[in-house]
Amino acid sequence: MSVFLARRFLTFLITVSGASVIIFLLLEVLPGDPALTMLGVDAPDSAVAAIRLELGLDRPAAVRYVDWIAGLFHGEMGLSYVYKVPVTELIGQRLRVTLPLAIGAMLLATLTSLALGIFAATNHNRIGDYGVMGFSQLGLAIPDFWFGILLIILFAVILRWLPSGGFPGWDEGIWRGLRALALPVFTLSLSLTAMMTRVTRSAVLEVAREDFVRTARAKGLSRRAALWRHVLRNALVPVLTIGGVLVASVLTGTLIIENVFALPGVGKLIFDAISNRDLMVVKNVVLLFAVIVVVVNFMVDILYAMVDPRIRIQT
Amino acid sequence: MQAIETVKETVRPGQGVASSGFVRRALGHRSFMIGLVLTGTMIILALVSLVWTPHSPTEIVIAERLKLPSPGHWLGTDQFGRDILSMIMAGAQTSIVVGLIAVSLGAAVGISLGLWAAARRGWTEDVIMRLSDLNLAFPVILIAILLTAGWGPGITNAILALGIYNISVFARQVRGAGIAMWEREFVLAARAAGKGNLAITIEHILPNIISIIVVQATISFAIAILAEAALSYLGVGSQPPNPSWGRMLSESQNYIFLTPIIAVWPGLAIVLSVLGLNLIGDGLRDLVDPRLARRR
Amino acid sequence: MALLSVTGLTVELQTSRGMVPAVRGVSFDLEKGGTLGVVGESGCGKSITALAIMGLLPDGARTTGRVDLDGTDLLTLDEAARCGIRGNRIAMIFQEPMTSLNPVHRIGRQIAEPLRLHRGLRGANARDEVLRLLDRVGLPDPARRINAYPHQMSGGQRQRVMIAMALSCAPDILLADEPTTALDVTIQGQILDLINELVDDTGMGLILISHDLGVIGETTENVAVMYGGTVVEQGATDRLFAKLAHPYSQGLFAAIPRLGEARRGPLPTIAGTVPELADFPPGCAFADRCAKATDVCWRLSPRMQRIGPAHRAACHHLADGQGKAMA
Repeated sequence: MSVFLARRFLTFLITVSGASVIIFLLLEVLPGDPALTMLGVDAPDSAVAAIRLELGLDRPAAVRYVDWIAGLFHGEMGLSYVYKVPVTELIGQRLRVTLPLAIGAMLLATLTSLALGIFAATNHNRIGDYGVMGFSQLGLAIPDFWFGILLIILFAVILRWLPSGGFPGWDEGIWRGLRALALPVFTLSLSLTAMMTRVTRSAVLEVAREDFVRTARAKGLSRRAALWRHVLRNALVPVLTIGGVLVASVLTGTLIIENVFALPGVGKLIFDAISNRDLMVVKNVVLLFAVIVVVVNFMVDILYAMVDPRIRIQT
Repeated sequence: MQAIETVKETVRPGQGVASSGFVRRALGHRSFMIGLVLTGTMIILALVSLVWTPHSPTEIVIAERLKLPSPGHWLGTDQFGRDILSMIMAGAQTSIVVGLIAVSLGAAVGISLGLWAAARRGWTEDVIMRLSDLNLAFPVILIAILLTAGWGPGITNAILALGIYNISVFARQVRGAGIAMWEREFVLAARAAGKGNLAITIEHILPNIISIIVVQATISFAIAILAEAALSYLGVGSQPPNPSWGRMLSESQNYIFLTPIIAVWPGLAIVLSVLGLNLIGDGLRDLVDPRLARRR
Repeated sequence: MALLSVTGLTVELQTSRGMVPAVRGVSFDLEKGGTLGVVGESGCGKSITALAIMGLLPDGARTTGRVDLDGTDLLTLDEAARCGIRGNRIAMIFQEPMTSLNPVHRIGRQIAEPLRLHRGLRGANARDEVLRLLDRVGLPDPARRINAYPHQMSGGQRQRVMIAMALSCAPDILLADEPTTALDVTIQGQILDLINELVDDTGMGLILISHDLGVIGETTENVAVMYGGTVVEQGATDRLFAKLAHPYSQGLFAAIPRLGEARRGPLPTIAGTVPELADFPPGCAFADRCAKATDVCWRLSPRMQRIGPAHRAACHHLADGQGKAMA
């Protein structure tokens, strides 16, 4: 187990360092002078010189990269060029919207899809199964931002039950915050639910055909007991895999959904930063997202090993 | 894992997608045919729009703005009085072009890397797989954001982002299926006959995993259409005046309190195209793998 | 009255080609403590017969006939009642010990499961019983093995675990479906010896399913030869082996290589292959592979006929063959 952990952790470190190098290259080296990237090619020379001095862009790229990474180890991401506040502070504020959105959607999708997937598998080739599969086929084809717009039209424009967007902040009370997040969470969960439902269903069907399930039934377990005690834990492995992969799509989903519902989260922050050419913000936010994706994949690997004892030995 | 199983069970040397009875079985596969019709419609709309659209998709007629569907404008007009049907037809071009280039790019590089990893194993495979781990740390939108922040907005960003993302998708699939194929007897026989890695890969490995690649390409195309729409919606994809379904939706969102219907059409176009491609992909998987098909 | 009495059992399975008969009118009895071997090639319906007795046929299967246990027709019982019998009064072990155990649970837990289910044993009581069972099936160091996962054990050890599991509730009948086929030759003998010993000690009945006449001959008092979903010959093992009556049984026997016997020419085989279940002819199932087949074999199913004390066979040509004595 510890060899396994060490190897995974090494892969994790390599991937994270690789990601930071790629981000730095793409933003600050390959496009040319970052000062020009931030101000535009038409900017007066004096302004360009000023920003170079202010952000230390006159130093060699390698030095700036090491500086950036060293800063990260001290919990510093530099100042936002536009807002003139530390980037860590900006991200911290915005995560208070993004994290509840992402976690809420993940939870909702997991619960719904496990229920739907198991239901479909136990009703294999019957009407309930076809219904669930039709729903998930549709859920995969609907772009989440359009689904969000449709929900706004229905609940905000026609029924007027919920706000069409915006976020009052948690200080205005938990209830109002949750109300503002209800539609976004539901929107974000749609495609996740569709995907995980399919995987859950086929995993349960696959495992239900295994010899050891027949053994369980031969012991006298009922269909239901065999499902809960023998099928589900084995079926969890593929569901976990896809769950790990989907964390990436939840995160990028928040970027889109926050723009649909005008939520002041990290997604809104990064697109504003792109418009404002605020490289400091873009660089650090993208790295943060990439790191989260890698960390989650790392954790999924560990989880596998806990669910399936065979993996611990193999690797 | 699923893909590896599939290959072991069903694909024999020389048996590709075009095996006998394929067309007959395809014609009897309902959801596959529905997918074919939907996708066919999208392609025809795009082709027709090259030579003809009911109105110009870019002409601005302020007097005609935000009209509901009528005989003159079947799907109505947008906030600039442009004909929505014409814009959707022209938007199909954008979706198809972006999808085609991005998937071809990803497939070309990804398949080569995957085949290489499967043939060489050892450290070559390790390096390729670690690179693909790194690639997976950057979802499509993150790549597009980086490109846009560095080089400014443009459709090229969307194409590149999707292409890069697809490299690891194809590389992983092809490597898995390829490794399973390398363990088969006929490959052993070819090796015993003194054939090299490259010859075996081209003559034996590739033809036998082509069905998996076709299925993946279909699914990737569907994902590319969704992603292009999302990127254009966010403003980091297709730029005005180039028509795009995603940007039509972002523009329509400002008018949902006035004429909500204009936010419906582009979305429907996306859903039907993606649904069509997904149904084709699932259908192909059934058709080339009867073992799985029987279970449905 | 027989402990288990199977009468006119037919099973139809759902396939892509529609409902296909896999078992067609099988009848046999098993006395209390008796042992019965069921022998035949793969696809002859022997495993389906066993699953029908257990009530574990795949979805969509149709079963007719009777399966009486102590005079109660199991086929008329509801699912809950059948669960109460499975693993309790009738236990079953399977061909593939590698895949028949759940990979994610420790074996102690898997063996304890029927104990908890049927006998309400829990905690330390269940653990003691599991240790006793593991010791009984000859697994060394049970106290350590109880915490092992299946993948940490060899095929033979896993089959011992399966047997311990089957034994746990002291069943009246053990159904063993090819229990040694997947094992190394050296292990096969050990597992068969273990089964024999347990049957002698506990007095449980045994139905041993195998494609191997040799295994059956050494293990069971009675034998039924199956082909194409029907029993073609059955009787006391010694009588049947002394005078094989059915052409199929003769072919099956001739195909066994024997140790220490000089080989004269190639090993005899039965010509042709087993037809697909859906393609069986209306007459005798064996007709198209049988050297003696005549018109009547193609048209009419042969009836079971008595050909000696405790020995019956179903063939139109029993008279002209006179049976072949065992070598």
